[in-house]
Amino acid sequence: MFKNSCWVVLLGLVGSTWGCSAPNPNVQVRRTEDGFLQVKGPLAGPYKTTEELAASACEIMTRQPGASNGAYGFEYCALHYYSGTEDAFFLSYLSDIGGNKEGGKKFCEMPRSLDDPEHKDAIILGGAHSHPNNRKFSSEDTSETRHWRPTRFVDGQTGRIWDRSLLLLFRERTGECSVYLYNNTTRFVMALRGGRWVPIGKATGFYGEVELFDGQDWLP
Amino acid sequence: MRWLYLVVLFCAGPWMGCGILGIYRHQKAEWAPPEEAEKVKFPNSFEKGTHLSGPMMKAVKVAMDEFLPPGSKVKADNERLAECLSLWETYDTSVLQVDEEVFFVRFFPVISRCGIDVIVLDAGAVYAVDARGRILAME
Repeated sequence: MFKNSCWVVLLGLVGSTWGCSAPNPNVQVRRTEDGFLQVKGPLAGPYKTTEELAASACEIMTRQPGASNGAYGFEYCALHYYSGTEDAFFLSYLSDIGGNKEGGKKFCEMPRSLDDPEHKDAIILGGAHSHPNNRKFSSEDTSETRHWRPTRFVDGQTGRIWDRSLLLLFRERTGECSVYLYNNTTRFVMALRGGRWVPIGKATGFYGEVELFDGQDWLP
Repeated sequence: MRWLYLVVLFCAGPWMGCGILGIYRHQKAEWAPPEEAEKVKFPNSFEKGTHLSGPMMKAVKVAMDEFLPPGSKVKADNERLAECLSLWETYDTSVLQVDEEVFFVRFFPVISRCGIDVIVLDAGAVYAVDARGRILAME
């Protein structure tokens, strides 16, 4: 009986080890010759609005292995982009490239280019990343040193003006997704509430200090 | 006692500290030669300087030793980035004292200081440290 139990435990351990080391098909990233990270696309889309894209990105990214594992969980990064021919928004495949510090704290290096053969006209609108244990933007997230430049530009095809933004995705212990957007031009911090972007604060300065508006907080 | 000699030999090796055992060799500061020292003009006043109270300094020391222990190396896919993030001088430090008991210490990496053009998120940290030098929480 004891021998059988040992085999079950051993098989379980081997199985879980294999599970951990098996490549995640949602992670498709490589470093190009110029040293930047490039992700494939699209992982998800088309979406008609940025609100739909962000809500879906949160469901996808926070369910990746380790993405909601607390202080020492993993961070995933991706790009969100727009295609004029489809008039729709997309999420790229994910990157898990970054590193870790003493004690296991993880960080994320943002991909800078996209490889999406289906959407040659893709316009990168910014990055998206998950936090394993914190629903707030870090000061790095909202620092002007991390802005994707140019932060505002005109789309040559449609004449439409775009602002680049960073998405933050966090899964609450209750299972709900908390979704935030930081506009790199206006520096407004928005929360996705009831399917709409609601301004809850503004970042300032080099260190991206966020001041929440009166009556607003990270949770509704 | 033979094991003790082995540990000492292992730790004294120039290629490796004993960070893994939580033992660090105190690195004495490098001193400039006398001819350079002679050129230094000490200020009459520190009025325009940055001032840290003793308890603040203690909180910063506790937090930094935890964040980036002496001799530790950050692991990253990008080697230049790993080197950059392993240096204390990469991080700007902010301290906020909210009351007599609690200090918040933030380490903010300024990657551009290393001449690297990458967008790195969440490589810094914020520690809550109490006046006794205990870390209360980190985010």
